[in-house]
Amino acid sequence: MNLGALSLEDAPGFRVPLQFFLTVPAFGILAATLILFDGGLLLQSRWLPATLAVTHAFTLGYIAMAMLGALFQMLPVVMGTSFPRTEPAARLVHGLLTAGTLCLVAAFEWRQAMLFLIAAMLLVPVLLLFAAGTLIALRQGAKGGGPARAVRLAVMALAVTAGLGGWLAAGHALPAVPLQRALTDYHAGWGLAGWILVLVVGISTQVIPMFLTTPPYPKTLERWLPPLLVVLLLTGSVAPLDALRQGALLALTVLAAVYALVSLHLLQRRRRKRFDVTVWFWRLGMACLLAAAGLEGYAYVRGGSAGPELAVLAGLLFLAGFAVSVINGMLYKIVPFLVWLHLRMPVLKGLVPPGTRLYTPNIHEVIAPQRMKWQFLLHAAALVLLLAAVAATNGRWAQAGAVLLLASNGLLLFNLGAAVRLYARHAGSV
Amino acid sequence: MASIADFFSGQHRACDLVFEDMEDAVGSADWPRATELYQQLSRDTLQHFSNEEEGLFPLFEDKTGMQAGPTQVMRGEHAELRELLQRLGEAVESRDQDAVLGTGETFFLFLQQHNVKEEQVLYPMADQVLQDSLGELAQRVAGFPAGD
Repeated sequence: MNLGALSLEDAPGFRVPLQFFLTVPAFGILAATLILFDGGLLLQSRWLPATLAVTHAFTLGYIAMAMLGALFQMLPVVMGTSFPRTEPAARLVHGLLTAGTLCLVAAFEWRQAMLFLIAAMLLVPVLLLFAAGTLIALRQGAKGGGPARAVRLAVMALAVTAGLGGWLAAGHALPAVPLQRALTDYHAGWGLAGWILVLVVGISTQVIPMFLTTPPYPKTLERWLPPLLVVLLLTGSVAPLDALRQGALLALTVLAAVYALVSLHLLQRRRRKRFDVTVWFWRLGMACLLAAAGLEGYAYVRGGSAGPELAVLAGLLFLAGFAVSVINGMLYKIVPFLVWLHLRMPVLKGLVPPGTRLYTPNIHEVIAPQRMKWQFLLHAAALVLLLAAVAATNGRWAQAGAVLLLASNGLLLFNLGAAVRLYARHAGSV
Repeated sequence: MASIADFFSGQHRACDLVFEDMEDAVGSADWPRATELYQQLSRDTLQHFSNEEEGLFPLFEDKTGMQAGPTQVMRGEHAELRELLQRLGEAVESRDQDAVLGTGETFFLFLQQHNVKEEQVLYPMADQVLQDSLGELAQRVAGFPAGD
């Protein structure tokens, strides 16, 4: 066990997670812009290239960007280990992920074979490298525990998702490789359930009780849900019988709904009564996960007779409703804390004489709660309009939703940028 | 059998509850009650720190020979928490709601990450290495169950 890693002094530099976090809203802005210009059309089918461009701006540019940045930060402080050569590795991962995602989005928008190829060559190695580095780090840190196990499973699912994605990209790019549409479901399933959901479950069972002062999650759920989700996903992917595969995926959907319900129940029993925007982001996120699971369940029951807009609706609920909301909420917990922590570093490291009173802005001064609240309202309103647009196939509503999404991410960028500027101003004076 | 993890984690939860009540009192601008709860929070938190710094940590350090290990890190964080607690007290005294809530949030977040490290790493280790020293711990820490 690396006990030294317990120390906050060993937290990676401010830049390591922040370069990822600041890029997150930029991709939110890109996704909103794509929806705005493609009108309502792209919300009508998950197969349209423009829909896939928006989807990947969210999954890679927003969601993976935030999660990779958070993992670089969490491995040392929460799991007592650290990513090999953290600082250069983080710079490399951030650069390649950003460039690769831009290429992929452009490839879908302009249907360019060459861009698919470049995107795959940038994204597949960097995601595999990240997964491998995380697994190595977790092998070295002997501290097991729930979150570490979930992270291990999640990055393995990330590697599977990246591999399948690379194969699909090759199908788009190279005449010699057939485009196997059937693989898309596996690619999406491993990405959404294996990587995103497993990671959120693993982290939330730890952070929701701790930071949002709720009762703890049931021990069984905390311990068994992540591995169970992966086992069901595996069964749903490779089981020899069709009925077995369908049953496993249905069970997975039911478990996702149970997790959402338990989370909503715990958030309702939160002890602190003060308004906390992060709590509302989690509530919205869990409500969307529940709705997404409900739609998926309904689609299983109805079989082929469920309309194509159902899949778009479920995807929108899961990505923009669930994953984006909880990430947005967590950014508002993590970023102000990191600004405060790094400004206190001279004191924590004993670089100033004991007893010196060094002014540090408190966490509410880093990002004003009022501005976070406005951003939450913009995000929630954007979501409602986009969902309504898909349900009613209304292009005008989709564009109005896109404008709100743009405003929401613009304000998120402004809020995070203000935090970083405040850090830069005060860090210079220490 | 008395468990170090249970006893000291219990003190963490008790302090959390007092903090939450204080926050509620500040929210409803009930300053006399807020002041009273702040004093209780300050007393209980500082008592818990000295239970650790004068009771648990020295025993742990003697037993493991780790003077500059995890206990040193925890002492450093206690110093930071003492300063935050003092600032919180100043904000309560000046009845500045924004300052209390902002400093309170800072104190609370820092405290939670500190508690997690103690509860998940330090206490379980202490329970392992101090099995034979629980009687001695009970002499140093008021309220720690003396056992059989």
